Amino acid sequence: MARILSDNNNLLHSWSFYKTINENILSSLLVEKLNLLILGTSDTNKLILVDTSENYKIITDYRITNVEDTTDSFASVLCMESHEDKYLFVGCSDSLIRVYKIASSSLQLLHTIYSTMDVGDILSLKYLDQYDTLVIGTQRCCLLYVTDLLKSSKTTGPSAEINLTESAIADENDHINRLPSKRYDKFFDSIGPTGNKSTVSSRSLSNATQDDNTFQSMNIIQVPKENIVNFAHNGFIYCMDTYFDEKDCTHPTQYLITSAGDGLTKRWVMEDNCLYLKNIIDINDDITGYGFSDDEEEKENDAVISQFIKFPLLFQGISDMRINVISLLTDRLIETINLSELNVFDDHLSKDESLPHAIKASSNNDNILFIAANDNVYQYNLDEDEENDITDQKLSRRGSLVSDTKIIPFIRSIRSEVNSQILNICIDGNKLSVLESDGNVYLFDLSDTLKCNTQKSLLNEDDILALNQKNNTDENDPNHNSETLIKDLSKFISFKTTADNKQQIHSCASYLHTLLKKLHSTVEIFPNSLNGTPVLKATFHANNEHLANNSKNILIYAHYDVVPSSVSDSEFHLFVKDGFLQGRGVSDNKGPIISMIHGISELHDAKKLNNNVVFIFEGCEEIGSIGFEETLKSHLELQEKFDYIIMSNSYWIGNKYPCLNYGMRGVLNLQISVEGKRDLHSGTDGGIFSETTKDLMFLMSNLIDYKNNTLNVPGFVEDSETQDLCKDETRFFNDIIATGEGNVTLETLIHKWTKPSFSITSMNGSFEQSIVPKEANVTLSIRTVPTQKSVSCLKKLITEKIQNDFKILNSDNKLKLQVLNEAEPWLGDFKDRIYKIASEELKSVWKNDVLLIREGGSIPTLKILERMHPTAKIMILPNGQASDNAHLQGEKFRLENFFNLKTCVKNIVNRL
Amino acid sequence: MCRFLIYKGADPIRLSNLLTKPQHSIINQSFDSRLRLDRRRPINGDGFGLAYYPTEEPSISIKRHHSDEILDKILNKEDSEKESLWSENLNKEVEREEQEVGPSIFKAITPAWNNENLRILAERTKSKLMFAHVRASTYGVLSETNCHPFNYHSITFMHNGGVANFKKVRRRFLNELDDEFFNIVQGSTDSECCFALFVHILHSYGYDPSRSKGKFGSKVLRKVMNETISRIKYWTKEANKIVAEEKFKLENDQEFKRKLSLTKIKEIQESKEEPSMLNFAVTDGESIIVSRYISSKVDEAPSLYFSCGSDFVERKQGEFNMHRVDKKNKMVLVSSEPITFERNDWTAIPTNSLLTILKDQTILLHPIIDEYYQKNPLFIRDSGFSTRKGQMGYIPKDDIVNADGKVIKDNSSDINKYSAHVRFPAIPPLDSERRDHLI
Repeated sequence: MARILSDNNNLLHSWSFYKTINENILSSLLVEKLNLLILGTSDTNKLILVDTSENYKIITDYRITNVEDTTDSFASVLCMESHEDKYLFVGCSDSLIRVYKIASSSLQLLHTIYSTMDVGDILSLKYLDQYDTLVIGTQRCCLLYVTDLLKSSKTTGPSAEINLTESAIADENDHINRLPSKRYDKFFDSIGPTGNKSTVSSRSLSNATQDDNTFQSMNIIQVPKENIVNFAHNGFIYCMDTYFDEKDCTHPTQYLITSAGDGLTKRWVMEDNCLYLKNIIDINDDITGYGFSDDEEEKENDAVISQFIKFPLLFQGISDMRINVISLLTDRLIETINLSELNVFDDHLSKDESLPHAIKASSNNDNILFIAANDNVYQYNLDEDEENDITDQKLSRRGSLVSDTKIIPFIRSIRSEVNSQILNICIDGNKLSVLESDGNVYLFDLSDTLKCNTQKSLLNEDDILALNQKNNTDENDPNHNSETLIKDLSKFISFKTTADNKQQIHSCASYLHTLLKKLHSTVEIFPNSLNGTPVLKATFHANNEHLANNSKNILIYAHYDVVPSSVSDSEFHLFVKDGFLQGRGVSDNKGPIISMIHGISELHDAKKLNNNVVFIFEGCEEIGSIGFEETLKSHLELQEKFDYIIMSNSYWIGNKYPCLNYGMRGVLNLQISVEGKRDLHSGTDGGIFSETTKDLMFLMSNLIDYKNNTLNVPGFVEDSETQDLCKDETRFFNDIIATGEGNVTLETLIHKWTKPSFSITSMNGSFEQSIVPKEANVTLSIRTVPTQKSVSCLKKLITEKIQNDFKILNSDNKLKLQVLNEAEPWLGDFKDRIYKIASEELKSVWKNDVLLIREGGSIPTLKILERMHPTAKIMILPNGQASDNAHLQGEKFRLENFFNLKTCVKNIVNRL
Repeated sequence: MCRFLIYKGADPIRLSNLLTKPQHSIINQSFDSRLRLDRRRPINGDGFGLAYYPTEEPSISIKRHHSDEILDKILNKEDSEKESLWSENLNKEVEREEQEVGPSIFKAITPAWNNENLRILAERTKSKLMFAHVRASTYGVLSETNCHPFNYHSITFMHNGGVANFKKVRRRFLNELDDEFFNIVQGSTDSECCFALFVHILHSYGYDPSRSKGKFGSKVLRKVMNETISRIKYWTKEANKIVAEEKFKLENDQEFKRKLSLTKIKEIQESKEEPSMLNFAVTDGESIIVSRYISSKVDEAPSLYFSCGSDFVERKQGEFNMHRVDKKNKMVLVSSEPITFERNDWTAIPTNSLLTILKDQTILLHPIIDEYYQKNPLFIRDSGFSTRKGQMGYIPKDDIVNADGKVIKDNSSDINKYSAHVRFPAIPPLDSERRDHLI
């Protein structure tokens, strides 16, 4: 009867719980619900199963032991939960919750919990160990909870009464008569009009007359009426999970997340032995672009069937084989994984029945989720290992990776004649057990699956020792010494915070959040108004008592996202090699973040911080700081007044001299595309139609003034050509040339930093020799300088020019212009004292001259911050060397720079 | 007075498994109603009604198409004209099928247990969505037009309970309705007027109740149901006001009393201010809203239970069990009283709340929060009123409990705690709430 399982070398064992009593009986009767749970470690593997019609079964070493359940009640077990492998909580359809102590091969009943309210089935249970409280989710949409459950019973023994408030009526007989199965019910205890109960089911009867001794021997707990949260949801409460939030590092708060058939997710917290609703996470209420249209306003939310928390990510299984990924940092929906779109399913189950029944992960490596859905278990790699299948990956236009191998069926060839489903899975250590609806239980070995993702150790002790000796950090302070910094950075780098990888972005923000708290700052999180990416604000208040009065407000901006790595997974591991840190984002911008926050925190811890320092971290910088300005504007908390703004994502001009940056060019990336109706063949169609490529060439040649190396757009270049550099700048430029840094000439510097430029960065058309493509496009990257008109103005001029030219063509094709990216140029006030102070500090730390530089690149955030804080002085503090290879393969950051930045920032901030 | 039963499932169920076979099936309830011990007349014998939505089988027309094609090939008739004619017919057929969205309805005024047609029909019919109702008339004559469920295009509706003193406000009540919906009312029951009001409100919210595809969505239906209840609540207050006014006048205004006949005086004296009992069920053929409501803060509404699971199986003759294999409901039963005696299978719907059954059988439960809402979930409402109205059992547990009011043995201490008045069920419910809205 068992299904055929092949190709699964990792199948350890399977059990079949078919009961072939009578072949004439309906098949659905044969198999009643089994529930299972794995307890114990991987070597003393123990499975607890419940066969609802009879009793519990414990499987130890593949042998089944039946455990007599003295409280047999014909009820189905609907949920089980264990605590520390010592206690077992079981929720049943008879509205009772049973608490067992797990012995070697038996279960000892400790408590039976009931409520005088008719709560229906018990659907979910969660034990909050921090509060010794069991929370119970019911069919009646209410939450019940019992406090002081295990701890007090340990000391006072099972006979002691727990609920003092109820003690007046707490004699045991009373409890017995109040149990849901015993208490008088108008219907079930009724006699018919004929005066007899003859029609009452024999099963119910035996139930009611069961010997009371069994009940007397155990401790019965009534849920006190204060502990009932009526209508906690409007649907069946299917899922409960907890997580710890390290608000205060020494006392993390345990939160409870419930979700239900009404599609809502709620966060609860215990205070003074009471359960309070903290907030509702209504993902339909968001503005992330995943929101619902007006049409669907009339639709109910999708019921949440299963749930798993990998903080800060909450995975929720909903109907139609979808999994919502919600960030518990921002309470927003960040992604919906649609399993049914993955073509990994057989269609033999109707859509209605397609459900992700359970989501679990191994505690050994929770980067792989296992999802029980339909008739298979799917393996979902949170942290896709790109080394495995490089050939399968497509490179999307922005250079990000799209992996096709994120979700794979775990049980590879599984076929069944019956429409059986995977109902539940349990993972403990390296073992996965699977319960199938037709009564089979399988046990798999996961060691192979989990092995490939084990973390490599990146730093050895010797390296760290060497570091400590080399650098001028205070090694007596364990919070801020080199080792801590490197460790923090290593963890920080391991998050693949590319724009597409929302889950990693949120996880990384959560890590940063925790770290900043650990460094004693006040942290707040704001979801990005456009896409929900967390924006973090960390505040260190000035605490130097001698200088408390006139402290300044300083904003330090940085970003924790990185450009996608197109090469390999190992980019996201930190290496230390030859005095360099290596890894994606190590220089741009994660390394600087770690050294700066540690620097400020060190001052703060020593009570020597003279000025108020606010860090703002965003996660969308690499994709043009989308929504950053809107986010700042929509939160009053982000609109404090600042005297100085410091940014650190930029580089020295060379590798030797420290630099300060006071100018950036603006950018306008424009895609020009010409679109026809279809592909044309040069033979059959040539000469008849307007051709996309020809049109595009015409536009481009009209736009570009090759002779003067400029654009044929009136007003693009103004009289700036004639404008000479001011005296100061000439001096700076000459200083740079004198040092020989970057091997530049005055000519190149002037062109690179003070003149506009344009480049054609991509051209797309046909790849066939005789095919005229349906669409052809060109991407122009135009850099602008402050002496020109503003970027928005230039944008208008350029698009008008192109559109007018296209009109001349009188073509049948369509022209499309798309602005991919834009940022205004920026020129800082290098005469301000911040530049003077910074220059002096850099000089003293690096023992070298400081160069004042500009850059040819662009940072959109600069202008955003300038607009938000028009009175603040902005300075860019470059920290990496020119050879850092930011955005490229093998990004690195010199250790010396990493540690010196900490010192520089400390000194600069304190002197401002 | 009445009993109803609702089935909604992913798979069609044979109606006999609900209507006739189970121990306490609705047919059995019609002569052995456990929760209404109106011992004089414990039977719901004044007719019954059944509405079931046909299972959609779009494949039928395609199958026919296929078989015709084969036939054509056999006869070697490659007649394009015929082909086009055929597809035209097919289109018409599809169109017609789209229009026929409403349920099949079967009503009779004979007692349900005696109806041979019903027995055979139930044996031969399967449906995914069924409403059934047995009636014990208290209001309105015995006629098929007075039998529930009521239907308007895709919408089906039934009621268990009654609008208090409806006679006093019926004319004004109906006056509120648009002509179109006024004309729905063919019989003489308060229930049908409530249905007309429901449809009227649905229309006033901007939805065309006659639209062929139905499917207004559970959110809309719930909103409309809430509004319907709140409007009926208003009329109940109006009706009770009239009753109280008449009584007050009778006692204090001799002039008024002198003009009345003895019968009229007696009628006024016997009339009472009462809450309305509004257990409604409505469906648009896709989702279902059921209310359990009483316009009183201390009384219990007529009984209502639900049961859900994966399969409803017959363990042995007449003994059915609700099986649950996984979390998702494959079927839902809602019934005025359980149709089996399996305690664990049934959950009472709390008084003054709305139960929603979604298209995919997900159940939602919303409290109706108004002046009659009880915040304390353990508050024990007085079932005396519903009992007297024949809506709720008042059966002593075997012989142990005598008739002095200490009936609810298991909850006696809670009663002392929360509602002292329960011990004196003789006090009319509205008086015990001291609702002196008149004077």
